[in-house]
Amino acid sequence: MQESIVALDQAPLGEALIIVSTPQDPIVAHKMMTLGWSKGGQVRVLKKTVGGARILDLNGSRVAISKALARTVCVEGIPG
Amino acid sequence: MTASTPTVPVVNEVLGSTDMGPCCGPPVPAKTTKRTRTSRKAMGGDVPVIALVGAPNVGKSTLFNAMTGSNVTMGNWPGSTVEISRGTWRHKPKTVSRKRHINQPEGDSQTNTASCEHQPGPMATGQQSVELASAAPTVASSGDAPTRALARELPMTASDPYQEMTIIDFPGAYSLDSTSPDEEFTRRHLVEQSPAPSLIIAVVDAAHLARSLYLVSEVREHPLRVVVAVSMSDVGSRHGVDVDIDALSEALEVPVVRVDPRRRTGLDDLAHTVRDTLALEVPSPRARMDGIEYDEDERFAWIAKVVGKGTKNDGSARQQLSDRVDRIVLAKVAGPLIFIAVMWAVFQITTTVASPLQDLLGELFAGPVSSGVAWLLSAAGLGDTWVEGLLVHGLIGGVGMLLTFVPLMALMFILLALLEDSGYLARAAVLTDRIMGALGLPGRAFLPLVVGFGCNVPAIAATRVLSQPRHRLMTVLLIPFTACSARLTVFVMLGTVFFGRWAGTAVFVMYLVSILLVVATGLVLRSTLWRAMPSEPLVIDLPPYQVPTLRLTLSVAWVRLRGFLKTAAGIIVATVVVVWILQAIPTGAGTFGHADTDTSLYAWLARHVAPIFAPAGFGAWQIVSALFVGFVAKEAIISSWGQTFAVSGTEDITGLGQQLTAVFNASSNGHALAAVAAFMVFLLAYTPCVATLAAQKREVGWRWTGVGVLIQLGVAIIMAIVVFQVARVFW
Repeated sequence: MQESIVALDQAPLGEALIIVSTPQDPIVAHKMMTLGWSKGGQVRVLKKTVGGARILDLNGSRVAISKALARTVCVEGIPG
Repeated sequence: MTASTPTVPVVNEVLGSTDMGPCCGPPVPAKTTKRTRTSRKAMGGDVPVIALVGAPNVGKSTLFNAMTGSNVTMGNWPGSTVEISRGTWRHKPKTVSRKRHINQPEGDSQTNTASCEHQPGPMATGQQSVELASAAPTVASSGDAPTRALARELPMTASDPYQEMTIIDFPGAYSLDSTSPDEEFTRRHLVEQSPAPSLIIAVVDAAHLARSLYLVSEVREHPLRVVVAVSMSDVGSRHGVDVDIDALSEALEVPVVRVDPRRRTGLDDLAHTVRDTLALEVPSPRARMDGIEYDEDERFAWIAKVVGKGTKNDGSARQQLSDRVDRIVLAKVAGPLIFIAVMWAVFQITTTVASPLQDLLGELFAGPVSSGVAWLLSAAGLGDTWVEGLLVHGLIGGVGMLLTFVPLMALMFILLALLEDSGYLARAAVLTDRIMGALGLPGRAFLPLVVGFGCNVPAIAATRVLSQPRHRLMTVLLIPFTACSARLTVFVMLGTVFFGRWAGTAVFVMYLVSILLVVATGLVLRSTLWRAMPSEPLVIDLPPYQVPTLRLTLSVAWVRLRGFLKTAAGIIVATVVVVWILQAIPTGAGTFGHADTDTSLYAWLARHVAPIFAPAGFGAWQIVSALFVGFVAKEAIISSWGQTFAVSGTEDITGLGQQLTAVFNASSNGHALAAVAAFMVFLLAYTPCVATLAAQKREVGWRWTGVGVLIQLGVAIIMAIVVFQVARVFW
């Protein structure tokens, strides 16, 4: 499913996705990690806001991240 | 029926400035408050120090309140606890009856004699359903010993050393990895400094257990006594997640207690468990066989295992209420409209609803209170003396002015608490993040700036919603450039007098200039003082919406109001007194307390400062002296002009206008309109008032308050000169 890897800002809404990468900035990566963003974990993009921010479902929690940050992390569709 | 009784001393200490040294360590003397020290002495023993830790927004500060019976800043906002708070957790145990979970070896004869039934039992009046471990400590063989639920009934002994504990509420932290000041502070005081706290209560959110447990996983890797308090079980249940306390305790290998700080339930159990655990030796930390620290993936694997064992998820992925609300609140069109409506409501309430109350208090102090004191002084033979002037116009005037801020601040703090507790503030931060990002500020900085257009004082207090100190500092420095309602009254008066039918436009332009100043100053600060400040991408937890509780809202508002009054009272009253003294000292004829304004030291100083403002077109002492008064309160400018020109400023606006026109004309060589425009810009940009300074000092300290004043004065004089020099070409 290599071809299905996309940046999070390109990910479809509502679909369960596998987290493939973490942000390069270690501080941001750590912050996201503490909110449940870890490689291999699952995430769903619930909504895009007016400013471009993405509302995510991360382990049942709702987390908002900016569009710029969403561009820097990758996710992969779950086969099937 | 609670094991904790309201206990007074709670000390809020600014993050990073707290001397934590003596407050840590297993049952060691704790440097807390006078009350605590006295109590410890009375007990004849040492006070254990309990560290309350947890991720932001798990109800930690609410638990702290419930435990200590005191109040602390808190809210439904990630990172709202930007200070540490310290309080005393005290019990009045007499009999024991409870279920508890402690980390003890199977073979411990003492604990094995206990019954394993939960026996709430009837309680006699004044009794608690408590407690505690036998006075003789029970030694755990290792941190890996199985955890069991135990229950027994023991008499409370007079020698129990843990009747009173010091509780320290640490800043919210997701981990101990030192990537934020809050986490660094928590790490330093939990695991790096010696001695360590006697015990750590790690508060975890049942609805988001995996996230909450990362901190627990790290704490468990250190030799610390840990009790896990599971909060928000009701929210978890609504999400389809039910925590099995016994199973979770077994998986974590630490005692686990379910609590509901908002309803103050589960505190007995927590008290029992903490006291039991304190009686045990410090457990061995969770460690890898090779001694290397666990990495993130290993911790997550452990967390996944723990969550799997400790929770029952029924898989009901039903749409949550918060999601449904967010569909509207964060919608592309409705979202910004709702945000603007909320901000408008905050602005309106803080400016218009508080106004009658402010007037009432102002009239009360200017009327009956002042008259009463004057009458008493007359009766004592001190009528019409400088003593009366000092007391009535100085002290009472100062206290009266301070109290007029109370309704405004109280409303502001209540609204702020409602927005925080409801969960809306986090959404507002998402909506405004892009706009504020241009200034290097997070979206949530929008709220204080909006509030600043009502009053700068509560706006500065509202910067507490910002968790990063540098964001708070920058916002505090920008807020004085927002045109508060006090300045509006002067703008309206000057606009009416000098711009006639264009008065509304003139006032509107001042608001535009205000916004321009905020943006321009923000950009300049970002490219100078905070050149190295990287813009932080938005990453924010959106807490579920909830109905704010009245008690929580009021207690949060009260704590903030109390803090403001404590800090601002002295500064405001002292400044009002100083201005009165300057006006009371004659430089020519007259005696102290009976000087005419134009012959007072106040006027003398204004005359010497006035030439500085000549390039701005208003270098007349009558105008400049009003700026002194405006430093105390902008509202007082009009009345001070009335006093200076011997007219009633509010009633005889025409007479005052004529006098002002003459003075502005004279000081600007006939370019009165240009001078007035420059004066209005100066008024907008220079230090708002002494109450704002007091609020700034409370939030960022004297040094940065001083820097802010210099920036404001610099911007104000430069802008005023530029405006006058350009405008006089046309006017």
